[in-house]
Amino acid sequence: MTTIALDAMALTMRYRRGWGLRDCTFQLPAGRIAALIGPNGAGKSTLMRIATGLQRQTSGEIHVLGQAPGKHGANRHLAFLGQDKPLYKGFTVDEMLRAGAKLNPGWDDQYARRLVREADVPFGAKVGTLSGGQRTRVALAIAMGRRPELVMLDEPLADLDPIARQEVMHTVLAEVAETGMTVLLSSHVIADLDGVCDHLLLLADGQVRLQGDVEDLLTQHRVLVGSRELVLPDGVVEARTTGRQATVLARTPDVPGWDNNEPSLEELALAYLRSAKKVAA
Amino acid sequence: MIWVAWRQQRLQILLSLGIIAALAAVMTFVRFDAQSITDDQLVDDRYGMYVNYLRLVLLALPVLLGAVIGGPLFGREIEHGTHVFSLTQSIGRTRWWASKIVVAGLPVIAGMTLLGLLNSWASAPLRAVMFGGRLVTPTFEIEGLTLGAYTALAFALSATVGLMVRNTLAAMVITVMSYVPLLVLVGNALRPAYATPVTSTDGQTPAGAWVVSSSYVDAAGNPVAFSPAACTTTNIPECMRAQGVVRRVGFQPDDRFWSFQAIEAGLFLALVALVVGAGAWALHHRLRY
Repeated sequence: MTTIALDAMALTMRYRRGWGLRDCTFQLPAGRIAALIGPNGAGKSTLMRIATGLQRQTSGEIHVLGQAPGKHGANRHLAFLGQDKPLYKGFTVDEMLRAGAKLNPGWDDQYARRLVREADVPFGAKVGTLSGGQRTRVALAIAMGRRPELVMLDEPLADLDPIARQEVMHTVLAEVAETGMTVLLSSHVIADLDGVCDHLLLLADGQVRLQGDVEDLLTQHRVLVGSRELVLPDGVVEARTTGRQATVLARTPDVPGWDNNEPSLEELALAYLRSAKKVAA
Repeated sequence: MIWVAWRQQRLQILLSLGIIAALAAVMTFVRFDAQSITDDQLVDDRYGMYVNYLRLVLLALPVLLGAVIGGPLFGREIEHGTHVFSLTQSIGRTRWWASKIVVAGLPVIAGMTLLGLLNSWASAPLRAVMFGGRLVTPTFEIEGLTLGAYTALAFALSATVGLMVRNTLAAMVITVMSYVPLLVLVGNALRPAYATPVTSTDGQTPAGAWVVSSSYVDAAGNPVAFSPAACTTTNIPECMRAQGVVRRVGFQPDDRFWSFQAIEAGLFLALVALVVGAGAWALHHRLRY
């Protein structure tokens, strides 16, 4: 197993309408549960599609578990769950699992079936008749049945109710605890990721704005609250004023004179997303 | 992947094979029944219409089956977005593509080839009531190897176009629109020249011969103009003799049927290879999420 699950070097994707990714450079260490955060159109899906080989980058390089995605299909140890949870509609759940087995050497049928059973999805049901949540659970079971080293989930929680969200995250976490699998999970609902993800990759306008282990990032940043007359420290990400009070998020150790607080993941992410938006505007 | 491809296409495959089997059963029955009738007029009475309908059906069937099976093969998968699933499994995209083509295409191409061969045998007792010989359109197109070769091209075309334009209906329409002119072109421009025609100047051609050219020549064999209007008698042959003009006919004899079938099948298989090659290129260079 490589220690770097995803390794991007100046990864660039240019579409006719603009940039998908621009000079993206980052390394995702193995064993992390990484949140891929960004506004719509930030390049989250583009990044995942390039990593799976569904799409080829304009320039730059990416290595998935040490290998560049080639034309021989996705890396065997990489599982991907697309945004639309694509499954063959005319297949029954049982047949879909059989397809998973046929298409993937190293398939763990018992495990995949257990996940489907736990989700209370009937095996005989046609995929086309399943609810959005059930479909996600089946698609997840197929992704997990491959026993991947790296799993990339594109907006996996989008069409799930709160309980199903918890169950899905639980499934993912249990697998991580058991095998040390790496997860890259995209979402724009940051609250879902808090307390689950231990690594953050924040994209805006196709560029990496912030990356690192969540714990490190949180200790490196401060939410500063104080009078608006106070001098701003170095490393300000975003400063907002309401009346005479200023709220500042900055990459800094404690600043004397301000009320210093460690930000939550959501505060941190939102501050970076807002500042990226301002720069763009 | 073979099971997955089969499971995805089994409805179309079974339906096509069902149609082919039903036609084969009818043909076999007709062959034995027509053989038992010794009077040509009775055969014509009973099977004249059948021959016409069979021609219609067999002319349309290759492009119909090819488009119906080939069009959705990649077109529908891309429309539904399920190629994202297929292409992110451990098997590579080449295997995905090749398995689908083989599993969906082979049964129907093999079935249609057998049907064409069967028709050659089953049509033997009906020969007397057919217009023209075996080399003449539409008989040439529906007997022997051509049925299978046409099906192969229609299928390959429609599968590849579906992969390129990512749309089932467009794939089918484009296939039909390019298949029909191609068949007309091959039948009229290429097929007469598969072999040098035999020429005859005595006004006789053997039975089943396919006349591909006809001109007037003088005794030395030079082309001349002959105008029947200038004749003083209504007996045209006599008038020609008086002017020293003979009609020279170029024809393909009936015994060239199988070699012509082989040439035409080879031509179409070469086109299939070309189309499939274009599909392979598109698979690696054009097909994205």
